[in-house]
Amino acid sequence: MPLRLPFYKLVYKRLEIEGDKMVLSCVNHVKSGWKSVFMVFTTVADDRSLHCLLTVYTWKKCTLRTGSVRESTVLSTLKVRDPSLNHSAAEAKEEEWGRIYLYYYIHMTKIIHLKDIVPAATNTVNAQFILLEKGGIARDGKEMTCPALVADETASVHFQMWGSECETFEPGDIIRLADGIFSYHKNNLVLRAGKRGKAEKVGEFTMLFVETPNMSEIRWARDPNNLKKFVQEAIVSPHSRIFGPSR
Amino acid sequence: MCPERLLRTVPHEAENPIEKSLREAFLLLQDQLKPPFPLTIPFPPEYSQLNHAIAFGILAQPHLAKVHLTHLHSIVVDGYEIFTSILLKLCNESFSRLLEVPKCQLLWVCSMLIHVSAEKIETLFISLMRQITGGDFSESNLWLSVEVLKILSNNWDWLVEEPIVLSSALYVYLRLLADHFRLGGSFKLEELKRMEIDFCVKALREHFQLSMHIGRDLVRILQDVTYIPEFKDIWKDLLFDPKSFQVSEFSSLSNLYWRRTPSHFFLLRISPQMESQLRFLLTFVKWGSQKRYQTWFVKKHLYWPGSESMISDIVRFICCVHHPSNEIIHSNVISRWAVIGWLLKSCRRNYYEANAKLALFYDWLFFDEKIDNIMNIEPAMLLMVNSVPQYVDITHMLLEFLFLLVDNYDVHHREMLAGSVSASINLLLRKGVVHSLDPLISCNSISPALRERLNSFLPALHLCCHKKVNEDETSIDI
Repeated sequence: MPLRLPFYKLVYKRLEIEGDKMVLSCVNHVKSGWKSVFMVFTTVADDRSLHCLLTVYTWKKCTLRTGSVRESTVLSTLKVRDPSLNHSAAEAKEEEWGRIYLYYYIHMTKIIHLKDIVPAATNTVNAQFILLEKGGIARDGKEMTCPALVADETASVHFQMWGSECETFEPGDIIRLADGIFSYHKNNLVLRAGKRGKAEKVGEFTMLFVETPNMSEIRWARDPNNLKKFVQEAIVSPHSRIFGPSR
Repeated sequence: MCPERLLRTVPHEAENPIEKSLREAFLLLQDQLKPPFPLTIPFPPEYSQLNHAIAFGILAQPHLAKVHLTHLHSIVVDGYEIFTSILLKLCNESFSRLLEVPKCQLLWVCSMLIHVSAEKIETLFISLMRQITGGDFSESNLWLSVEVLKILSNNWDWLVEEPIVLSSALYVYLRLLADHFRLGGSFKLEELKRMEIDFCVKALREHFQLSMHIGRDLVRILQDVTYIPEFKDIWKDLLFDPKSFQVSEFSSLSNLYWRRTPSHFFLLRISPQMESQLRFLLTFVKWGSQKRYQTWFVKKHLYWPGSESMISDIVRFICCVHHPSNEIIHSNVISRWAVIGWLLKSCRRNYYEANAKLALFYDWLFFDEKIDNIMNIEPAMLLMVNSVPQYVDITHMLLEFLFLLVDNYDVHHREMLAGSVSASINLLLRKGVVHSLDPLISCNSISPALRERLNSFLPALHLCCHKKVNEDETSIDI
């Protein structure tokens, strides 16, 4: 994501002096809606991610108070934190990028829990999960495919790996999926990166998970009120039938 | 000019944030890194950026490393603290993924930083030593072992001023010798063994005062190398001629027994990654969910022949370093004793299993309420009690081993060892870690001899079960 580069620089420079205590105290006071976001960042455990989050949180506080995104409010809050701020042209440009990124970040890249995914033909699944088990590698035309069982703290799902993903990801890997798709692929309901998505390993081992419910083992039906949406109709199996529950 | 990479790249892996920040700084300040260097002292944020840029330059550009180092010397205002912190972070989080050239460069710059007494350089060397994997005879691991030892051996003057580094290095290389010595073979390996022996002997003979900082575990790890002639002699002197070490506080081996080993020593043989995985397992993973984590842990850390050597170190870490809070102990999180039980079962060879059991019971043998921590002795007791009745063979095996230790570990101090074991059990009962040993004493699957022996360690208050044992004996035989 090209916007991330200047944003990191922007935020990190501002908050370098603040130290981690302040960030952590903000993390503790956040409202539950942000928990999933923090969950992602705390598992990555990167100082700069936490700093980014502080800025995002600051923005959120501003919107709660003012009721809308006020760019000037955000900027003035940021400036308050760094009184020695230099207003050169380069800095102004960075703030511009920062503003754009904040907006993009809040509205576009919401990380969701696996329990909340719904089959859809769109690439809008941004999630983070840990790989529990891999199936056998098979060929689908020219590409390799490999089914896998992945899970986060709320649910598990079948993840279809594709191409080089098959040999790269191993059980225990923590994977971040951006713009993934959860849909029927050759009669199986699977989560996958798809053509427009990207799966990346961001860590290992240090993530909790549950194996039930399994979102791929649910029978879905169209919502009578909105035929474009799916709703859960019945549970086919509490656990994966391909990968049995770990004994 | 496209800068080199520092870390091995793997497809589908997010870019490492440390490498990213180093490279970004380098790209930003590239032009400032060539002489003549500006003489102005940069402001704090720029100073940090410059440190990052120079760090990248030193690691990625060996042909310009000396220039970058000179630059660093000329701008430093914080005793190199930011610089060593950068290297420390890189080492702790990504050392195993460093490419060959940056790895060599890292060691080179660490040796240079000794000469300028950089802040936290001691911590950096401890971190490097933690990256030397136990029981691993691969080229790269042996190379690291040699290189770190070379730097330490060339800097005895500095070492003597840094007791923690000296005693830690002694601990590390004694443990490594126990693995390396049994391996025959290449000329390089013989050279490494010779260097390790010379280093440890020098530390023990000439700086025993500092070596003593290790405490009682020094005895434990020395025992693993006493078949090496130089250490056989040291061992003999420790037993029969303690004065030869010229330390007034050391007049008998038992002086070492009474020194509890500070917990930081037990981190030395655990890599930072292993540590965070073990801590995660013991802090967050609930009972019943541990199986997958255990599989992953073994696959990552305990899969090659010889890796079992680390199990005794892991047991020592769990008992003596990782002390969960009361909140966690009373929650549904998996307990230390269960993880230790799993580790013991993972041992395939008797030698490693025995060492692991010794690691589990070591503090029992010398327990003194005034200086020791009940948390160090708790896992062994809980493992024995909770294994009855489903895994009674474990309890049996552990009790047998415990009594074997008391009788044979140090025959000259048998009474003392027995007294300490008694004190341990006493304290565990008094503090309610277990309410009574009845589950063991009245368990028919444990041999009467063991049960009677166990009974003899109990304080008078709990001896009421004694008669019961005798009555049950009639029909039991193992």
